[in-house]
Amino acid sequence: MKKWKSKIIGGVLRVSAFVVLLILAGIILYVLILGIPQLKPSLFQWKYNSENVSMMPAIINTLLMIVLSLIIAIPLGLGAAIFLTQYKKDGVVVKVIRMTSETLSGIPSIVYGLFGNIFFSTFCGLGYSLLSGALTMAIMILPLIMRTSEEAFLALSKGLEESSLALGAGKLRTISKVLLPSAMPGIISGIILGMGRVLGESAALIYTAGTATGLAESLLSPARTLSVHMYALTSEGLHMEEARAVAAVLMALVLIVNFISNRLGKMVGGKNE
Amino acid sequence: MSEKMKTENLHLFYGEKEALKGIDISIGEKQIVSLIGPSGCGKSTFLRCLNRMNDLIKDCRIEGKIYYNGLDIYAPSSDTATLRKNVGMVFQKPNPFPFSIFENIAYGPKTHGLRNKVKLQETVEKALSEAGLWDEVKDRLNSSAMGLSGGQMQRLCIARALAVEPDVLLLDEPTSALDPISTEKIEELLLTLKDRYTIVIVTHNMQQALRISDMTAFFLLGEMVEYGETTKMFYSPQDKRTEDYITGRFG
Amino acid sequence: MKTRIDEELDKLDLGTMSLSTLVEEALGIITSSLNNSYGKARIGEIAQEIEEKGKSLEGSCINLLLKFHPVARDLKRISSTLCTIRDLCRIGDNSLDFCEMLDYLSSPEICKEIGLLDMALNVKKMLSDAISCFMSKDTEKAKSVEAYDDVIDKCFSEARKKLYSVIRSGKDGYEEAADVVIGAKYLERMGDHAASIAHSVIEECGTVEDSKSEG
Repeated sequence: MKKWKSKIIGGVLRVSAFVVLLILAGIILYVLILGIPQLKPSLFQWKYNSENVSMMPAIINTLLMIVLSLIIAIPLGLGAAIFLTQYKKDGVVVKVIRMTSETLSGIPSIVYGLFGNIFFSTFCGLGYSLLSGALTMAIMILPLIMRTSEEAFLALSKGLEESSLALGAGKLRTISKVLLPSAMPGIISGIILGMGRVLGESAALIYTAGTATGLAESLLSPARTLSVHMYALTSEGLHMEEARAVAAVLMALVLIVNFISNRLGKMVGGKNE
Repeated sequence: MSEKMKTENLHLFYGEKEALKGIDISIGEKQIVSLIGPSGCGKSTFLRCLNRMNDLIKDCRIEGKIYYNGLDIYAPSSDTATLRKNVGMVFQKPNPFPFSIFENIAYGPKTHGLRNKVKLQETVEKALSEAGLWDEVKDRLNSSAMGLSGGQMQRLCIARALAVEPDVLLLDEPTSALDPISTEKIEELLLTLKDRYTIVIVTHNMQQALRISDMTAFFLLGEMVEYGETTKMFYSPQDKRTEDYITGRFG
Repeated sequence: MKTRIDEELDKLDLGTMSLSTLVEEALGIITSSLNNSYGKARIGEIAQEIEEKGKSLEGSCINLLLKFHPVARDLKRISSTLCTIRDLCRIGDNSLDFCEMLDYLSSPEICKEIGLLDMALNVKKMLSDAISCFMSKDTEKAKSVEAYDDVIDKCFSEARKKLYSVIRSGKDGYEEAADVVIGAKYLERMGDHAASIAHSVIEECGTVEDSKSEG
């Protein structure tokens, strides 16, 4: 009787795995197949005009957005992680930080967009700009970076810290020369995940970085990123083929980012053997 | 024989709990002292007092005195970095830093200010030779230390501790995670190091204590029950509790 | 608390007890042979049994050392048991040798004349006392057993003196005097081994001063 049961369950599990695979592969392939044929050189021209609807400015804007968000989020997130794992390990402050961080990571991105719009764009007077978008993105990926960095530090064996201290090194030197380098693979893995989030974000950026076309000229210029560009094209309805091409490029970039993050994750696991 | 380290009426408290109850011990130079006793008896806690590693533990309070070369290690004028340079420690689980073999050994000297590349190279070579590892790794100093076997890693940790030129070496169950052959190599190593260093080793392996140590201290429930010459203690212990422990009549 | 090693040590003691019984029987044969009643056939068998039992017990001791890595009182106990087993075996060998010596003699009278019967009885008593101190771990008694070796040694020198006068006098049986001296030596050796058994008791259970005072 038991053997029967486990065979049936095994079968059901296999089918569900197959269905999931089918769906995922299906989506990826669908997007790529629809989009790749639409790729053409004019889509990659430097100067945007309503004729070529080039995605090049959007790509550059996306890169600028990612870099800027990371510049803001990494010191804060990493710093907080170091503080929580190396200095104050418990107490009221720590509990509050943890709780707020967990809450932040659950907030829908459109709410971030609205917040960014009201606070950065309006109240701080930044308007629709690269800076406003980057600040909002930074807040969004902060919990992620903090959490993955924390985990990277916590995964380190306690012996590393002890050995360094036993050799006469102080706490600061131990953190900077031993713990940080050792946790780096995990930290980088988290940063790349953060990158992926910024790459894929649309709602929050629409309300903070705006949809104005063209390359951002300064921090205060609006900056349409790739996802936003795709949204704009599809909502305008005039360049559906180009939109598909953008979708394909976006999909490809996301796949690459995930692949790198995955590889790094494996490296971390390997090192800790 | 002169006295290298000494404790006087040492008490240690973890919050309210008293983990060490008045330990008086004098450790002479250039000998191997082993600390034995059942789990939780305080031997590792005591070892960690000698290089102030217990300072890192929250709620840990010490009463009594600990002397290194006649100086109180808790005096306001004494500095933990220097103490830990002179009193090195090797832990139970081998834990090399995830750097190259060279960088692992060079970490200690660099911490204490040695920058000269030539001198660093010499120091690394000397430490690895003393630890009996030089021949095995001299051709791959720049490869990762994580690629070594367990026994080699532990010898690396010993070399790392020796690189800062301590004169006391504290070892906390250094061979309990190793196979018998690696254990033997490390015991041989400690016997050769005895000529230049004072060694204190915590071990739960009484045969090991018999094989390598000159003096043995038996700890039980935070007290040091007996301290004496190893062969005398294992052949004719003075205290019945010691005899019951070493003959396995405990529990 | 009785541990595995305690059980093994008790078994070892029982074995040593039965070995000592065999050796006492061998000494009994010597004394009765000197008194003319013949039990000598048995001596060969007993000597064989003593040898076999001795080997087996020695093996048990070595096994215990291997298995348990004993220290302190356990080590002392096994060490003194091993010594005792070996001493008992030597006494057994010496008994066989003595009886073989008797075989060469035309009559055992000469032995009685020079006092070998008394000497043998003394040795028998000494052995029995040594074994009882070994079992009871009585260090005071062991000291007196050790001291008793002087009595045996005195018997030996007396016997030697008497033998030399027999040889010089040219009396009947003087040719066999050489063999008889050897026999007396065997008895003296047996006394030494019995003293050694007593000494091992002092080593095992005595204080540092006790073992220091014995040369």
